[in-house]
Amino acid sequence: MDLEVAPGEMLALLGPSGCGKTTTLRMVAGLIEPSAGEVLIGGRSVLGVPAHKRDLGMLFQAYGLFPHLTVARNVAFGLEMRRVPKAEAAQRVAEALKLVRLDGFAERMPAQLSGGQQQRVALARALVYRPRVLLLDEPFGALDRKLREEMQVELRLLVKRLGLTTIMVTHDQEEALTLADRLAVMEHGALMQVGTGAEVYDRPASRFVADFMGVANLLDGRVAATGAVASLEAAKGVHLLATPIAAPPMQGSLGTVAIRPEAIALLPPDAAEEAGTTTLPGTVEQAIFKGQGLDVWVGTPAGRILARLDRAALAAAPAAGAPCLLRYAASRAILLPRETKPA
Amino acid sequence: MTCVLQFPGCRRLGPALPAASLHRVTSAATKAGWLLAIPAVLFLLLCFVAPVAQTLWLGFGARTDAGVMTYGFTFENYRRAFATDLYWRILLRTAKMATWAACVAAIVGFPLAWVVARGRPWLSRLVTLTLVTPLLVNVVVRSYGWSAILSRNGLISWTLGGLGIEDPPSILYTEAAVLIASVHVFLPFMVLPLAGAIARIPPSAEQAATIAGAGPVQRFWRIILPLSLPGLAVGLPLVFSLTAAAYVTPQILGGNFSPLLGTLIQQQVLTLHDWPFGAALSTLLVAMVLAVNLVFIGIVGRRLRRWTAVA
Repeated sequence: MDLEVAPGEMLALLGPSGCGKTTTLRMVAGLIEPSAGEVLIGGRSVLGVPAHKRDLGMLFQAYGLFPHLTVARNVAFGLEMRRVPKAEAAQRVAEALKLVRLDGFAERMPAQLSGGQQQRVALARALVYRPRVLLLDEPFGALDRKLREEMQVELRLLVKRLGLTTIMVTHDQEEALTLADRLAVMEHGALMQVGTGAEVYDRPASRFVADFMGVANLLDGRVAATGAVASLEAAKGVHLLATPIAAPPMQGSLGTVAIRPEAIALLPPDAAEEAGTTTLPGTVEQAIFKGQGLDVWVGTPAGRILARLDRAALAAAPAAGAPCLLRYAASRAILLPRETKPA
Repeated sequence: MTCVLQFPGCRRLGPALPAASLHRVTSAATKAGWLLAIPAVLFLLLCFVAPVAQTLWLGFGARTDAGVMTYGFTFENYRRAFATDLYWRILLRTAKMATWAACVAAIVGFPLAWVVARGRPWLSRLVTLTLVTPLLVNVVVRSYGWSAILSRNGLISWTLGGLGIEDPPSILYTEAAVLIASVHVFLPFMVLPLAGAIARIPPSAEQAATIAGAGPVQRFWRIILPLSLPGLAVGLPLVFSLTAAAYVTPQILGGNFSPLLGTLIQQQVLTLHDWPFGAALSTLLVAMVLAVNLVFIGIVGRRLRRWTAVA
């Protein structure tokens, strides 16, 4: 893999557990030595430079606070290592604590703080000495959902204001989309796709990326026709229209059509055909209330498909067992090659 | 009887259980618990509490000139112990020896504890085994073993002589001999709790220190050593108490040149047949060990509670 992070950029390494994202981050940190390859920071190789001399900051999922030191001493640790004079250090610690909205907590012990507060102390500890790169290792994995979302927004604002170059690791695509300017999706130690959130979300390069980025409907089959709009035969006589992205798969090869559930409309069984769309007959299996939306699972000849409907636009929830039609526009479905090749 | 259920990471589970049924279960369990404890309680009363009480009581007794001991209530024994310079010095020497043994055990034990906690599994097991095996050998045999090694014709002097050093010093019958043997015997009581503490140091704290700019030396002094305190808090008092109360090892390896309190008590009781004075000295020994332990635990305990206190 070959990856570059621009100054001030936030990059997320995203992938399932065991894909090598944490290993990659630890190689940047210097906690692991790569068996081959290079790690450059600011254009200079840091291979052979021990971790404590790389001038980095890092957040851990387990926070890694020093339980025997007060909050202030925790934050001051990096400054003490850099032999910053006491008076200046005290001032910078106070500023850092203010930055993470923990002023007034300086003399507490870590055990007296909540999980969110502990991670904010860890953040202050990493920011206080202005590291060259900030590394985040699943930083909010131990927090509950609401707190996690608050912390994400807060962290992004802070990091952007300070202009810190940041590399983060997460298995949560929502966290990656919230925090990062660019996403790097990894699998089995290889880079699958690198791009902005919108690029990776809308135009996943492979079936794996589409699956990982939360595309619920992945319909496998054989490519029947190629062109600006391609066609995939998902089952005998069942053709799905889709837009190929990047290099279109060859005719006759295995392919996958990926459709987001929001792109699918549920129609009564007697609805008329429409050009540029694919219409599939099916039977409603179940409808699940999801707050704002309604998730409807429909059995079709191409497989089970999930449609996410806006409840406001719906008179009544479709009953299980009811026949229906599903329709999506070819422009909103993408055709992917089945094989997952490293990018 | 109240019962607090604590599940780490799942504190809310406790109150969610129906309180009434929980109470029933606990009180029944408590009753059974008391019943099951009766044999142990009886045993301790008979074989520990009673003899200790008798010793305490005896310390206030006296010995007639004919050598008959009498129970009574006099402070004469304690007055004699405090008034005589020799006994004071022996008490202090015992405390000093125990302190040295505890400190040396901590210094020698730390690298071993590190290997036990962090080393490769086979090495860790080997070190643990090597540490624990001496406990299987009788203390008298072990002490004579050391005396063979430390004597003028022993292994150490022989080796030093072989290296061309003229007239190598004899270590046997010095305080150093007692120290070496005590540290050897009591090392597992230092290493095992220390290894437990080292194993519990969160790896993320060490890594965070590294990333923040701490090299190996700074990591040791700033993070690893302070976070080993729970282990030292167990190991130091243990080795101190065991060394202070030891009798066989100082007797065999220390000789009569530098007796410790244990040897002194033995002389009073078995040689001079002055049981009341021996009992008073024993009480002083226990009081000294207890006082040092309480002060140490008081200081360290307050510090340790701050690490975990949710207040």
